[in-house]
Amino acid sequence: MSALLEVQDLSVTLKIAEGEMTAVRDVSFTVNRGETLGIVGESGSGKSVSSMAIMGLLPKGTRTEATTLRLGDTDLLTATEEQMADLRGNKIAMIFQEPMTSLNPVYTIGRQMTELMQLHKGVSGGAARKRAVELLEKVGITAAESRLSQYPHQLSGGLRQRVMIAMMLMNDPELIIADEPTTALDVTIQAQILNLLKDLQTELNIGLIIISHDMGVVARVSDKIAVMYAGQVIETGAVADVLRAPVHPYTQGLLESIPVPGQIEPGGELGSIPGLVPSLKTNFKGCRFANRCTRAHEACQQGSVALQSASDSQAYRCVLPLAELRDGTSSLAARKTGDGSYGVGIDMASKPLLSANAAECTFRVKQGMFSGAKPLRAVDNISLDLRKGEVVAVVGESGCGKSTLARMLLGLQDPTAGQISLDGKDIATLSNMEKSRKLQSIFQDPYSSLNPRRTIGEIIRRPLKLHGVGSLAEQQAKVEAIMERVGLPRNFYHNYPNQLSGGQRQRVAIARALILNPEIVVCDEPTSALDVSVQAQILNLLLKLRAEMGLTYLLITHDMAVVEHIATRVVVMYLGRVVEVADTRTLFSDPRHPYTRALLKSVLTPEPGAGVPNVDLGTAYPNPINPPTGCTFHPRCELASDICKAKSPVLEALSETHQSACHMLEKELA
Amino acid sequence: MNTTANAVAQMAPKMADDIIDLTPKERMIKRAKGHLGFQFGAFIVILFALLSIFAPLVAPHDPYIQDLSNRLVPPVWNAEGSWAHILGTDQLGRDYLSRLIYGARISMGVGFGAATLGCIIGVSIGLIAGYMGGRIDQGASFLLTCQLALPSLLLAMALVFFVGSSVATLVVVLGVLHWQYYMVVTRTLTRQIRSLEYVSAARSIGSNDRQVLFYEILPNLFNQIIVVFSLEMAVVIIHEASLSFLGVGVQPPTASWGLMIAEGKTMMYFQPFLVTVPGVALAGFGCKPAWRRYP
Repeated sequence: MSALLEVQDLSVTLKIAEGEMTAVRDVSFTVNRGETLGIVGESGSGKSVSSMAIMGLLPKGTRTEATTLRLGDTDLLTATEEQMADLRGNKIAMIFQEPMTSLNPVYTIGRQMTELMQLHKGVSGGAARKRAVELLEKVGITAAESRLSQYPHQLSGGLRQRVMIAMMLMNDPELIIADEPTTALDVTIQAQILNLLKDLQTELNIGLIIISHDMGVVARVSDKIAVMYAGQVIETGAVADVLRAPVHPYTQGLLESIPVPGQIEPGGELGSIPGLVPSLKTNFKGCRFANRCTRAHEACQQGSVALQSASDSQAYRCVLPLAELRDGTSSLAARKTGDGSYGVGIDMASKPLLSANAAECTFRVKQGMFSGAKPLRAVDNISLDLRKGEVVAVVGESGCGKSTLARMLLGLQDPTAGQISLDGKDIATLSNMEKSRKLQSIFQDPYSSLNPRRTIGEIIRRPLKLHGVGSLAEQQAKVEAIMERVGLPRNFYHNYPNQLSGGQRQRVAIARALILNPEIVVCDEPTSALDVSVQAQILNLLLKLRAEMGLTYLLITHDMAVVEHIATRVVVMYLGRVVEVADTRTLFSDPRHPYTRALLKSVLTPEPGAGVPNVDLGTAYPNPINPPTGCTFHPRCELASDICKAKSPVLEALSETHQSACHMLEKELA
Repeated sequence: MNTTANAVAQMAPKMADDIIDLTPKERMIKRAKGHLGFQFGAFIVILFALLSIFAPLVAPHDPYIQDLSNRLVPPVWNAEGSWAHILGTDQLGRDYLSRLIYGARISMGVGFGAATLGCIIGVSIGLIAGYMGGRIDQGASFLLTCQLALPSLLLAMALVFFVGSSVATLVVVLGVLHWQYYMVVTRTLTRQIRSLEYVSAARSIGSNDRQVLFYEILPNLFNQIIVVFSLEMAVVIIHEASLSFLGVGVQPPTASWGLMIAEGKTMMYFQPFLVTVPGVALAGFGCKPAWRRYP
């Protein structure tokens, strides 16, 4: 049987302001019916461009070349625009990353679902509606009939993605391309959507391409995998072969740089690939990975490298002999063994540096034009102490109030009740200047946290200037010293932020935060906007700086694997309340709260063929404006009983370092 | 870890070619070079600016000297025209080209001055309203709707009429009445930028409100403000001409394009050039921002 989709030597050249850019070069893969291909790569690796080329959705002026680009019997290269439009509706379907924007907000779900089918299949409205209801039920949406008359904004993100999937199935496609289908969703929802996609694919026997930057996602749902780097497939094969015995140094490095809970002892560090993901505008000569590769030698710089087969089911793009690649222990490898300690001795009896005392933050939110403002309790009665040397992680899904908590701790948001104190003094009474000497922050998005109109030097020097530290020459010397410390080359001093990559920008943000020698740094999702290999660099850097400068971190994140790697203590939040607090090792080995367990279960480590664990949290994340009664987690909890609906639990101490808020703790123990 | 940091540092100069893009300034220059409309607009602006600055050197005659024996000489392209007066003379025998050049001085001066004053008022209100939000923002928006509801030309006429007409009065009155668009643009952008992380970052390194406004937010508004400025300048110039035409603007014998049209209108049917020449100059100014819209 010939493959459903065959792509042979696909190259895509895009027109850009500076001329032309070859975004994809010599990419080949095939997808059979009932098979899942995972395409994994960092940003700018050309994975989305490849899928757009298959869909024929690339902008005008783009050159697409290939020896073969075929779906079923149709040659996609020579197909007219009309044929492609027909094909896109009927045979290939695409699921996009952002469920919030891929549905049209002014039409009902029903209309959007039926329109496509009526257009392409010419069926009656009634038949299309029937099919829509059928499919909505299939993707696990309750009360499907009534959903048809709802608008997208009435559904949660997870539900919208389900609707999107159902919509794509309306015309019985043969191939589904899912471009980062779960990246915009919360971890607990991610598992549900992935399982749904996988089940549907087996049931309907269709081909599936999953594109993701997340090795965990790809590893668990794919049969085959293609690792892309700088517009080329650098390693491909059966998922188990590639992930268990990676051949290419990049694949090896990438796998080492992913934090996996339980793999690295405290004090150890992640493997990381030095350097940056290259821009596709580069004129490549030889191997595209050569300048980041620790094994590069002269031969790598000459001539492009062909894909060679390692076994029947595995191929790679490297000049080194297979045996050497297979056995040589990569110098990129993670240092798994640590000293077991977290580097700095933490005295839990000492006075807390930063503490929240029964802090609350209530916003007043207006929902409609005529309804009055309703209170939204973003942070509800939270007490938290941060002691010198600690790395406290606050974890939870989006909307749990962790960012509000961070803003309160930074003094950017006043608590509506309770108190935040810095070094024993109420933070509300301190001026910005006093606060900033002790407390600094690193923000999530390195693209918006640097002023685009200021040079890197100006940005890093700004705190010194504001505080009037030293003369200009002294300030410049300090800036240069800190730039070196965070791994920024000196010649970036006069560059603007838009000339730097995400990882470098994040280093600038770190340098700016550290130049005043603060004691506490609040890191709000410091790596979530970065590529995996760069994430490892930044995490390692944060750990190194902590040891060198005796820093205390408060880490806000949703990524449990990152937490396990760098935190000493974890605070789990749900709907503005703390549900569990424990030191990291206890939390990961003995989680008590059902929500913590669900979070831990939803961590997707790159384990081939392990499948996606079934995180059954039932309904979606509740609306914080109308939180459930009693224990706010009860509608999603499998252990919930009557008391949970009536009374909200308080934090109970399980041991000196472990507290949990759940009525069912005894029941769990039994 | 050291090894990684060093490796990155060593790598960086080599990698630098990959990522070093153009600076914002270079990018703008590059785009300006490739934009014909921008070049045309810039050419007109620079030409008029130079003409009005060097008016005494450029003008062939004194614009105020009357020569009644040489009244109403038609322009050079007319059969009766002469090269002595390229654009002819008016009903008092004053050289029309010289008056046009001196008139550009008034138009540019009033336009630039009033647009700058409006800019200062509008940007200040917009910045504060957008940054503070809440009641201050509501107050500023109320002020804006009041201003938009008033017929500005009528108001300007009344004001100038009461205060007495002079170039300085014109600048102040027109400036005070032309701040709305600056305010709208500045307010919206400020609200957007306020929620960006670099503003939070600025606060957390110890900046106060003033420093955030002037160091972080204002420089990011320049591009948009310049666009509004060039549009407003044209509007103000037309308004100045209208006021002068109606007799409450620049007073004779000072040369102003609006005044020239007003003085020429009685002779319009006999010597149409008296109206068309300053009219075309004015229209040229009105078109200019259309060319400049894309910086």
